[in-house]
Amino acid sequence: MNDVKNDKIKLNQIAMIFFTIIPITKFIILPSAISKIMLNDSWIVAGILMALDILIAVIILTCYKRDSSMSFLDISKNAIGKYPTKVICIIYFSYFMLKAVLPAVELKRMFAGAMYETIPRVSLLIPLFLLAAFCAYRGIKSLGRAANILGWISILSIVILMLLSTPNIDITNILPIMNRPYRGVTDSILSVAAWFGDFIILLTLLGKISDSKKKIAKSLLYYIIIGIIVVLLFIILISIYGDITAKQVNAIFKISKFNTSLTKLGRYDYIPIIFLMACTMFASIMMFYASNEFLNYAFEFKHKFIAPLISCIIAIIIILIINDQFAKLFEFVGKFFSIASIALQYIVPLFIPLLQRISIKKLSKCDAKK
Amino acid sequence: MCKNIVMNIYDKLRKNIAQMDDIFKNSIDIIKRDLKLQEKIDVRVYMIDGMIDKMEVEHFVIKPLLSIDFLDKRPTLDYIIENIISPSEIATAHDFDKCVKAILDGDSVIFIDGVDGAIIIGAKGYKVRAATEPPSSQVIKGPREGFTEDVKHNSIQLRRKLKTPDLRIERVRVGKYSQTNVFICHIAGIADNEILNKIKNKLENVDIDGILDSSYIAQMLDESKYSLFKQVGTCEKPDILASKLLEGRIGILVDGSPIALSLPFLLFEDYQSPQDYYERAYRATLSRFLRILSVIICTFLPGVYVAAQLYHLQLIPLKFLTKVMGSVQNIPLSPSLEMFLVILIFEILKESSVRMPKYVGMALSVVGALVLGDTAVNAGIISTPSILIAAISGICMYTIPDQEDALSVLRLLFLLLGSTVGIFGIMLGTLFLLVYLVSLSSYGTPYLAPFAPMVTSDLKDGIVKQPLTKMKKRPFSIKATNRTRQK
Repeated sequence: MNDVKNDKIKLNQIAMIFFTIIPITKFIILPSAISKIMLNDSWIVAGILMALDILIAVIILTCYKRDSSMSFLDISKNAIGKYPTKVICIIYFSYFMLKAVLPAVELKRMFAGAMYETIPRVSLLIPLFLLAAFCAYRGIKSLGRAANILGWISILSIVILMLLSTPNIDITNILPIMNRPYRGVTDSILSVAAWFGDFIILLTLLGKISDSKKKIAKSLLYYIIIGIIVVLLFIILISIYGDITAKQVNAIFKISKFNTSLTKLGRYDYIPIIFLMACTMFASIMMFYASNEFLNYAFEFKHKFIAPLISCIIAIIIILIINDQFAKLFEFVGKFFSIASIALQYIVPLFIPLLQRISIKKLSKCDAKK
Repeated sequence: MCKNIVMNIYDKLRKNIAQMDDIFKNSIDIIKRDLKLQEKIDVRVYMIDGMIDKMEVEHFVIKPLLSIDFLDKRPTLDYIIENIISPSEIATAHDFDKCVKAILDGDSVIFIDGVDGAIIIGAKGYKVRAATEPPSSQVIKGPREGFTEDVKHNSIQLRRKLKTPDLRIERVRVGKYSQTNVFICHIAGIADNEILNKIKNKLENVDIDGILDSSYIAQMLDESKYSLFKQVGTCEKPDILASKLLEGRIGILVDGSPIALSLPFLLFEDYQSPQDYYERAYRATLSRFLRILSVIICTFLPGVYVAAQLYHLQLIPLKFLTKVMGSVQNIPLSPSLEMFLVILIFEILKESSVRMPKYVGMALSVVGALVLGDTAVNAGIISTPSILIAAISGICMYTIPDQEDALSVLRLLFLLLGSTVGIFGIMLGTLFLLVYLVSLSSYGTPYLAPFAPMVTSDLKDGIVKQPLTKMKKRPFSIKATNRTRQK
């Protein structure tokens, strides 16, 4: 087991983790996937899902506020028992494992499409998961510190890309607003939910946050800013591309490409783009960390290295199975995984405060008996 | 020491002489001077030739001893110290171990017949190198004196900077044979006692035959022995060490080394130059930006250049691309092999120029830079962009000379990653490096502080340097007992 006593993270570091991973993971394939259904209204779907995500963050942070020392494992074990907890943890392990693979595959696809003269092999991702295993072994403290730096890099890169894209923005492209039937909104939510729900990582951080509870409001403000950034990126992309937004598969490469300075100086916008791609790697690493934590919760390994090792082997096997069948993977994600994600990232967390209340009551009863 | 000589001094001089002669046996540099007080009490003085101030010993010790005209009884140590001899530094010893250590340190030891003790005279007088400006810490404005190889001289320099009784200098002897004096310096009331005790314990438990330089001590104090990055701060000037002590760090001076150590150490310390504190804050900020940029260029440029040539030609602007392609088209080596070769030559030149006699150095630079480079380009073996990239990378490395070891290895690693996997490999390597660096800590202080974890108040002395008047508190990243620096 990880040394929980020392492996702590601060609320501002958690916010930086989300600044690092959320904007970029929503800006590769996702805009194209939503635009296929919602066209110029895709930013509304992104906005709704981000709002849902923030709501989940509020719920989980409420649990932290009530009892900062209780981990998800403590809550679940005390409330529903050992074996149901194991089942839930294994389900979440699988969920996070797929969520770790998804940005990695997107990254590989993006590299193959936009960065490499020759098509790189899928085995390129194996070192990424070895790195993820190393990070998971090091613990959340190190990841939080890394996010302290990567978060700023992400913010700076996004600001640069936004500034480069401004000359080409035609805001009328997002009009008319809500021109699609409401059915489109639910359909797109059902098909892209897997790309959202990053705040669910907070579940694994319960019991590991070492900070004043007064900072929760500030954290939530950061999460709202992250949501606004995501929506803004969607609006910028739609404003530039209008009806052909759905064809912009690697959105991050497209947002700044029409800036006139690039023709004179070369594509220097690749610098912030490359930084953001590193942030995508970090997103995959964070999801891997969460899956690793749930594996640890499920089996409570004695040695710290076992869970990262097992998770790494599983991730590599999944990557090798997927190989270059991106279309099939994204079809699976759109049809099945997104629906499962809605349950795991929006419905289950609603019960966490209740489970925590039960758990606290049971513990206080035990204490009273003693 | 090699022998266990913790033995009490006899009251018979004959026995003491026998013991001392047994310890020093055939050492020709040991001076033994026999005196007779009032022609009846035998005295022997021990000292090492070249390590003592003969004038001081003669004037303040030997002459007064010989000029005693009346003694009603056999004199005691205290009587001699208080009434007869008058050097400024004086102590007594009652065991041979202390005497031998004192002699080896350059002190003189006096044995008197009938007295079961000895007098240690602190009259060191060996030649010390002048406190010249160290070559690696030169400043345009600011103090120029540097540390020397003499630990006492160094501690005096430090004391001159910090004239407070709170500056504590404690001595530990390290090394079974070298018995090297290691001075642990800190400011009481500022430095954290826990860190101080940890350092003291570590040094006291070192069991090694000899300490020949402070780098030995630095390795003993390293918390991650196999780390690519140094874990202990180094400096060669008393003003730098004084500023570190004022921030709550612990300083270590080692006899025989002009390089002082400081703990805890943060990576960013090497990006701060003493010059930064003697000039305007905006200029210091610009210099720090340049240093960071230089480190990035040094580490990544060769790898990115090779990756761009091999995998990502679109990264290179068109006009620049045509130039590069024109230069490399007839080169028989692959871009990665070519870059490895250029960097290898650069590293070999660097190694040889450090060890080569100075008068040959000029010839070497002509041969290396002009003949080798120009001929290789003309022969079509190496392209000019490769030489340019390696040269820029090499120059950038020396903006942070203290990180040169790590940077030269990292540059090769990133070149390897760029050659084999392209930008993806470089990104992965960078992430790995970042996670590795944030996991490191130096005596409880995170290695990448104040950036990771972010310590907002310490950022005043971060990349953007604030004026000195704004730095009211000592760094929070370093454990210290007193936070207020100025009011």
